[in-house]
Amino acid sequence: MLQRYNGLVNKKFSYKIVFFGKEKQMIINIAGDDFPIIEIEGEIDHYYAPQLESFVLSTIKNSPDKSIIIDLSSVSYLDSAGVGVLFSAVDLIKKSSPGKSIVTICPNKNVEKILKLVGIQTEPVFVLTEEKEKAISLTKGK
Amino acid sequence: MNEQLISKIKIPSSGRHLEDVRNFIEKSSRECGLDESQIYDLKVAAGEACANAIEHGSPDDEKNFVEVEFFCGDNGVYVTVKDEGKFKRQAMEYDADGLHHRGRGMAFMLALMDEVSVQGTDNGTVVKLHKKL
Repeated sequence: MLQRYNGLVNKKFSYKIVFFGKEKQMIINIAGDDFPIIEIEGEIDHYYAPQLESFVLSTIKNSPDKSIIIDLSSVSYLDSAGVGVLFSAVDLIKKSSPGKSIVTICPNKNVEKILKLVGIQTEPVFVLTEEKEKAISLTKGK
Repeated sequence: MNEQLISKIKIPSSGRHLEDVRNFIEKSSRECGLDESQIYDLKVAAGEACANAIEHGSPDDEKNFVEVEFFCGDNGVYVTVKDEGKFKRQAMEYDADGLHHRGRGMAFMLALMDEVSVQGTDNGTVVKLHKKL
């Protein structure tokens, strides 16, 4: 999936984690160099959220003073637990990387509606965009 | 009650089965002619009710079951989620101070549905969701 970022960013590291559900699965792709990109595929619900949270928070901790991109382009479902993961990421980046941002790519209107329902877009460190290129230029500027 | 029962599903009380509930809601919603946006709202609201039931309404964990019923009528669609535990008000309340990132389930249900009711009984708690069409 992260092949879509080829030519757009340097990828010093890249790995993939698969969490199996009952029949479906959630895949997390992490890559980056100047800043981490976390790309998620699948449905983020109460079952998967704790596992995702652990990886998102450890990525932020391991990338001090860097903004991060969370790509939800391949996420078809997000519930309150998934939003909770993003709020935890916002809290952590405020503490561990002052002045840096969580840049979230979300072209899916249904998922965007869920995000906006709780007002996460009003957090100054949370930047919401529909496009990868825009997310990268925003992150490089942070 | 002039609503007609379209279908029902009973899942073991485990988060692994939330995807079954979403599939069930999607299939039932299509039978009742809901559009994509309405289906999504209903999947999230029912998912939140089931997640609450699994977390707070299942004293014996996976030995308990959560039952979901889908009704369709002139006034829209109704989804009931029934667990086998005792209703805990605290678990359903919206955490308005923003310090904790859990407990938004009820806020989501209220925002996405036209009506939400919660009824505690001796045998469990029933959450009823109503979406007008």
